[in-house]
Amino acid sequence: MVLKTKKPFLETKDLTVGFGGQVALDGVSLAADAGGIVCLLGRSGSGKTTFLRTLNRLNDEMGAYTKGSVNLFMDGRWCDILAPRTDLLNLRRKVGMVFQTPNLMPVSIAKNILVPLRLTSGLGKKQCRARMHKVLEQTQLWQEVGHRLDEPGLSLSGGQQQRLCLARCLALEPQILLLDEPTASLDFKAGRRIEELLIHMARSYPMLVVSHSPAQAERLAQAAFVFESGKVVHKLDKASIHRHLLEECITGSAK
Amino acid sequence: MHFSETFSRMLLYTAAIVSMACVMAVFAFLVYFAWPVLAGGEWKDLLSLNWRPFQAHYGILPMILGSMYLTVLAMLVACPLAAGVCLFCSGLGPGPAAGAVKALVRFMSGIPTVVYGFVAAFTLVPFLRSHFSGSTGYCLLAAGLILGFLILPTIVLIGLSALERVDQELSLTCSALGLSRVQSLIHVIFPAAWPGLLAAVLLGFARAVGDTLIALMLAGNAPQLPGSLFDSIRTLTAHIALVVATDSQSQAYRSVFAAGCLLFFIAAAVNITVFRVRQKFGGLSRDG
Ligand SMILES: Nc1ncnc2c1ncn2[C@@H]1O[C@H](COP(=O)(O)OP(=O)(O)O)[C@@H](O)[C@H]1O
Ligand SMILES: [Mg+2]
Repeated sequence: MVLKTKKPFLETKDLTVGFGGQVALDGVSLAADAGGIVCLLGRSGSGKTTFLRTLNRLNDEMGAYTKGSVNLFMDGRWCDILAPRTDLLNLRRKVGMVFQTPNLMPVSIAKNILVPLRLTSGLGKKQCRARMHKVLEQTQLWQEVGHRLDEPGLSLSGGQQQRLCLARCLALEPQILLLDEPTASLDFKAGRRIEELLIHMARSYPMLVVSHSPAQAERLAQAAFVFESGKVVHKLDKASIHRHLLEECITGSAK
Repeated sequence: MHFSETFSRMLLYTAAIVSMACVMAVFAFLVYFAWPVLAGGEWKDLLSLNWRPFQAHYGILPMILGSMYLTVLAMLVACPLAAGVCLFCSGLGPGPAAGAVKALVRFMSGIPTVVYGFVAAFTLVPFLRSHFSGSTGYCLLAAGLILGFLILPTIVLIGLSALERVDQELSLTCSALGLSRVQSLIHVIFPAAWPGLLAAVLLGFARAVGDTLIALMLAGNAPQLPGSLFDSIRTLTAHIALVVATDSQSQAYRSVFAAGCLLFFIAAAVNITVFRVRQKFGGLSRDG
């Protein structure tokens, strides 16, 4: 499936998230389109991760309160995911998230994919295996690990672990992908490899990617939002990302 | 600053050396006193079912088996309960109830053993006596049930700390994958915490083998092979306590050192296993 470009999939209005007394997001209103990577930029502590976690309601698990409205386009219609009757398990299966540091379970490579898949999909053993094969191909892992699926996931390299996390997430057939600084814990080469993969996958999934560098955003994004102290201060398109990068370099306000 | 560091280091080394020396001394002491029995060819008699000290039969096999039966029974009582309590406390139960149960378990761990013993002697024992004819109530079952409760807090508290550590790492991951709390616990957190859970079970086991008072107070102390749960048994630990309390010079007295050696070996084996498991799998996390 190839997405039509410029089809909106995310819309937030006055989104405010706080942890106890601390406000992490302060009235964020934005809209994002599918058909290319949307980057979230900003220095650390500006609320990027919190924003991602709003979209699968993971902040709820961390004792945060959330106000405002968040709508995601899923199953061919807009869903108000902050509505009280939202089925969180279902939402989280449809909105896949990859964390900043690889977070594999201490089990085999295969089980890292199969356990969540079997639990959430109810598919049979054969179908699960087939799905696993597919997502390992998609993340270009099959060649590297296809012959040693029973080895511990944690024995893989950082880049492979991160791609396995992505594969695990893809196996659940999400409709939207969230990636939190997917290359932050990787070396340059492994990071580039993930970037290529993401650019490729952005053709099939609406995708939000938190990035630690404007330079990376320039390579990846069709649009970007710059966060600062819990607010969105810039909305950038492909052309203006480059200009923003230059400005930051000149004024030295880049982190 | 430099001085205080040297000093604290010396203190630690001293503590380590002293405790090592103590363990070695205990072992040497046990072997020294058990030696006449072991070396004199009497060890065969030691492993017989016959405990008749006045006729020079010092078989401690009934006590070895008694200890085994009692420990197994206590583990059968404690492990399923502990698994349930751990599940309840780590997320299946509603928050306040889980907290209350955890507090209760912590409180249980602080109750002196003798309290368990005499409460059971006045409640469980008469109950068994009146409901199962032919039993005095002081039997394997009574001791096993209470011993199970005695080791429950050990298993639960050590198990919970292992689970909490894994939970911190993986619960958000599981949530993000759309797993329910029950699914995460049963399919991810529990399996991932197995080294810690095994350590918890082993330490509970060690405590059950080593406990003296419950067996002494509730198991009846007859040096015999039990035919059923309602028969009286004597454990190695209770045996040592009884013999030492009544005798002091005879060969019988010597035989308890053999029993002591055996307990020492069991404790050592359990501790070494726990250490190995922790060493091999304890640090199993991110870059494992
Ligand atoms: N679990 C949490 N508990 C308390 N405060 C948090 C938590 N997560 C994030 N915050 C706060 O929210 C703000 C935004 O954090 P975050 O979204 O992680 O920023 P970023 O991902 O841009 O570095 C920070 O001030 C941070 O201290
Ligand atoms: Mg972050």
